[in-house]
Amino acid sequence: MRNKWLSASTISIMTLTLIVFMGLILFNTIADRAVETVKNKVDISVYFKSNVAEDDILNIKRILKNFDEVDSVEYVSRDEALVAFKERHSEDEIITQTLEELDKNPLLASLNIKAKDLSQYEVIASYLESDSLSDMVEDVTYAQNELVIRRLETLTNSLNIIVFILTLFLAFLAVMVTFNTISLAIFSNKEQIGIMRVVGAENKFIRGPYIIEGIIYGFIAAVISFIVFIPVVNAISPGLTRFISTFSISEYFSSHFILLFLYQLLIGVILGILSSVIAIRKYLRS
Amino acid sequence: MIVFKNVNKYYTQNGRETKALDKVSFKIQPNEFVSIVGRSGAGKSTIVELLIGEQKPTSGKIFFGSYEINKLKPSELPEFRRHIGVIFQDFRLLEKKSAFENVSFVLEVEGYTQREVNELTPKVLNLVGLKDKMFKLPAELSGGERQRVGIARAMINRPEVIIADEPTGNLDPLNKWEVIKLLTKINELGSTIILATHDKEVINSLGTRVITLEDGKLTKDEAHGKFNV
Repeated sequence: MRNKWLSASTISIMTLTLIVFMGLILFNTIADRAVETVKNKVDISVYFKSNVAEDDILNIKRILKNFDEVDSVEYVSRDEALVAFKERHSEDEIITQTLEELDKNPLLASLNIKAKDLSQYEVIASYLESDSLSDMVEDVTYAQNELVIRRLETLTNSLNIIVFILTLFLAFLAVMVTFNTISLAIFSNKEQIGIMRVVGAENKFIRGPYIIEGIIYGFIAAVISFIVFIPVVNAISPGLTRFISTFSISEYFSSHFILLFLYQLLIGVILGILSSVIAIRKYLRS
Repeated sequence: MIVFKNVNKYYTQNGRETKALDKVSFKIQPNEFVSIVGRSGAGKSTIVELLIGEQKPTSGKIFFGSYEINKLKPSELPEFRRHIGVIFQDFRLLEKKSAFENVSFVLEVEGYTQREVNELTPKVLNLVGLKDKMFKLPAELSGGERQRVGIARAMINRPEVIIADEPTGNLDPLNKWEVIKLLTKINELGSTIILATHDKEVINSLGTRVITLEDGKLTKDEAHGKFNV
């Protein structure tokens, strides 16, 4: 290490950069999981008229399953719908009494369909609302869900674009800052570089120690940034799980520990090498 | 053989052109001891920089043996520079390396084995009288000793030519003559010496060839010259 202070500041900047990178990786993961959770709650339901035979509904289910856009189709018979309804309103005496007074099941059989992607609900809805099915279909809930689906779609698309731009911007910023810090370190050694050139040292000979230095900086920064992230992840995990019940960031962090560390290491080392190579290039021009 | 053929070198600073060398031509034969003299700004350092490929001439040609220096590609310069040893007025040593490492660095650059490095370096340091101080850092050495490290570095790989750019400029009289004595000794061993200086006393005592520069022009080239600008 040529200069303690410059080395320390370079490692600090690289550590900050890697913390930002890691933050973005985790932010992307959390955003993906959040969107996935909301997406899973969105579906399209088609209710069939009470006179439609179960076989006909199951036939439509088979047709829908063959759609490229369809992820899953669940059939809910009139009886199953009634059981579920009763369970849901078991504590509501008025509803329970009213149902007992009725001599027949007022609920309709339905198919609950999940698309592979939010944008594909429209294709499924247009099939369900087509003339060929109009005699059998009582109602399609797509209209009610449409607004939610559209808003969610716009939100996820915008979020992805914003995160991508933010990532690019921060990555650029990080490279610039690291490059400048390493440049400063090399600048303080420019006379030494000049001496090496005069005695006939080839560029690779001069560049070598600086690249190794860059690699060491990257490695140390990756280790420090990872050490910093462990308590941070553990601290935010419980709060996050309250919002996304199906996802635990600390579990994700521990199960992807090696991969995330290798990723940090790779980014750190690449950042160190790139910054060193670019920074020293200026002093190696004849 | 070194040949300067109608070499012009202009520098432009703040839109103003300065003539550093004006149609300079000369030849230096192998094993010669040539002094290039002149006042500050006469063009001595420009000649040194052109010779080691640090600068390119504005016009004219410079030959070093089979090399045409002004036509060398950047990738060819390191190999070319190994034919020349350079001694600087300000020593230009690697401050964080010992005297031994400063000298052996040249051999490492050229790909010598560690065994050869360990064998050759002490020999050369002994030749310049620094055997006992070879593991000292430049900061722990006197000016004269540092210049002797510079001389050892310039001669370690037995280059055809050694260029000394004001090598005595920062030295006291005693060390000055020590350095001149060493240069003469290296010349006797077979290397061409080009000494750029403005030290009258040194030139007049050497009695060797003197090329005189005045305002970038070659005004005199005498076989046994004196410095009388």
